[in-house]
Amino acid sequence: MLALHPIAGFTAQTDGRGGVRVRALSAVLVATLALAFIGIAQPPSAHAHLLNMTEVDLLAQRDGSVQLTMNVDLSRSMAPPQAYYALASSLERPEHQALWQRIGDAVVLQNTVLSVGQQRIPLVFVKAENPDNNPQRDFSDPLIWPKVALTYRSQGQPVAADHALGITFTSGFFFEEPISVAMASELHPTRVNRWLVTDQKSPLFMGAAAGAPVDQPLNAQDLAAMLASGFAHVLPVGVDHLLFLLGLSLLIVSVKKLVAAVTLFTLAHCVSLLAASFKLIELPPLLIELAILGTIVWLGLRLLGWRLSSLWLRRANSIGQGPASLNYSAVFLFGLIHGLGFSNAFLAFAITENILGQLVAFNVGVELAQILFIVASSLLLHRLLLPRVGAARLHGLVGWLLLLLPSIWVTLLLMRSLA
Amino acid sequence: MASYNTARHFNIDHLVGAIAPGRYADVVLLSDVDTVEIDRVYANGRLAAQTLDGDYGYTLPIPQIEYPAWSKNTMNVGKAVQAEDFVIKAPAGAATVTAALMEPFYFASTFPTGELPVTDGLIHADPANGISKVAVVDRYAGTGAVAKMFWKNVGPITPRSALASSQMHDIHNIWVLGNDDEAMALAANTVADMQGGWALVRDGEVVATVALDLAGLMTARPVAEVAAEVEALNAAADRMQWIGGGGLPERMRFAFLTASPWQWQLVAPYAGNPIGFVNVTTGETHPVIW
Repeated sequence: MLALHPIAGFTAQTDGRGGVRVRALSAVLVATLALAFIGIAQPPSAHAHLLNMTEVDLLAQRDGSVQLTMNVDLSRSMAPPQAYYALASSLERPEHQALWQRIGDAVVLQNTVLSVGQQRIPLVFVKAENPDNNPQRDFSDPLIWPKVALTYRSQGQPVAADHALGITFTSGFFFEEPISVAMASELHPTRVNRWLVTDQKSPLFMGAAAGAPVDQPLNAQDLAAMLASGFAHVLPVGVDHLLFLLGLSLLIVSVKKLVAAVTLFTLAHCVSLLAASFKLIELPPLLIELAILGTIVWLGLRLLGWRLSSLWLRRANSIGQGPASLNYSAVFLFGLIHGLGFSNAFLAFAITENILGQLVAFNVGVELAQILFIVASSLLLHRLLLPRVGAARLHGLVGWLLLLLPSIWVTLLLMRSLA
Repeated sequence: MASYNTARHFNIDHLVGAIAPGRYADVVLLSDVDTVEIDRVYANGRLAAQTLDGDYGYTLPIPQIEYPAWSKNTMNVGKAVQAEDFVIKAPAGAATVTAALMEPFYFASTFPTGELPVTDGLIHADPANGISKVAVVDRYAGTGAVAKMFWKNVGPITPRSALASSQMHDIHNIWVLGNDDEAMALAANTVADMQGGWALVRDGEVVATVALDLAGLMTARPVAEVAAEVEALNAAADRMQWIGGGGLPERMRFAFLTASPWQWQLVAPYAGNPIGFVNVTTGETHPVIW
């Protein structure tokens, strides 16, 4: 690139034979670029556009669905030009359905939901249009790229308070680059606009709740949305977190000790959520997920009466009962780990303004859901089940649940990260 | 052909431009022409990199490149530009003027025009009606020379905002797009102070920068670091309002190509050059307002 600027005196800095060679190469570079531009950039018409880029609009709708519209140039994938023209003039024919579906399948629309991880949202083809109605000669003109407008709709209703949308255009279809993606929502004014290349993930976009809206200070609605989002990350989608709380509420019988443990746990996970949200701690998400599952497995082991001898698992300061026991420092450590998991969810919203306010709202939501669940599960376990099933059998049941479910998740996680 | 024809044109085809005995060439072998999947790379006649099981591996030591100071010290604007440098004055007594209104990727041999109102002898950007100011600041001669005009259908709506960049294919001066002269000066000076890159000014303050310190176009900093800056720039742009919707107007980076058939271009003042609003295919110049 330096070579492009003989004017700037860059080449004058070189000397001797090296200078000659650099100048010769510069000349080649300049000429190549000039030729390339003359070759590709001949204007089809005088309106403003960037050659044949793929243009994509993703709209999160009020009804919870996502609408995706794509303006795509199919010249290269539908060659020769006659074939593309034939296609463009018979878009509604049923035999093209397979092509539309193939294009839709190459677009990976994902929802990021805490604990559940990423879920792919299937896209259903809606319609194909030929907005410019280019005449046949345009299709064989090497400098005109007729585009087809394709509309897809999400299957199901993936737009929710705790969901963040992301989109990737895979090499399953030949999308002309750059792929200009505009993500917008009917529910808030914040937008995300990016140029992508094939297989590049877009940033995440919250379809339902906004981060900070355009040019507006943080308002009560956003805080309420963040609070709801925090709540939803525990109830109902935070299955791993719920399992941990379930184990905790079974393990600790004394109401006083349970309150103390939950408070400590909450405190710890506020600390790590804050620290990670301000990027004081940065760990790979996979590691955090595995650690969280590890805490559940450990609780399961405790419930089954297993004892590991380590700094954290000494019987001193035990706050449980009988063989199943744990100490406060372990609770604090586990709180820190779970907080990191929430921070991943929080960071996924890509909020960059009013972070603290939104973080506090998110955290309050998390804690409310947590307290609600602990109260409910304590009542259920200790009042309802324990007297009927018996402590040993209940500990065994829950213990095995806490061992088996995370083991399955770990397997799935590892398979996903290896794939 | 792209390399051979070019080499032949410059009479250096006996050295480069072809894969043939006696020519210099580094060679990249592709395993998939459509996706440009790289299989292996030969440099200086030796295998330099190859793909194994989907991973790229370097087979030669990677040289540590120390970029010389001159490659990192290329912004010679000569002074901090001021808001006054971006002012566009109306002819005395005029209530309205006709202005040339360019837009990114406008290819025609003519250019659009429009009527703009005059306030206190000056003409201002009018984002509510899709009108922005665009300026090109010379970075080579050290005179702080600025060419400016009005564009339409692009630019910030958010008040006192501007975007500047030294990625301006293919002359790489500093272009500035904005709705406020102070903001435009701040954006241009920020880019110059960084020795190149991007600067976004919102409401009179710099809200995002991407430093491209090598020739004002590139950087040797780690990919993750630069990617984070680019993402922050995009995110900051997404939180502003732009004419015609959308976020960061990335197209601007390619909107100043002076190769044919881009015809009317805003050209920074140079001694002995057609300057201002220039038809780069004929050398004809045109006033930006009249």
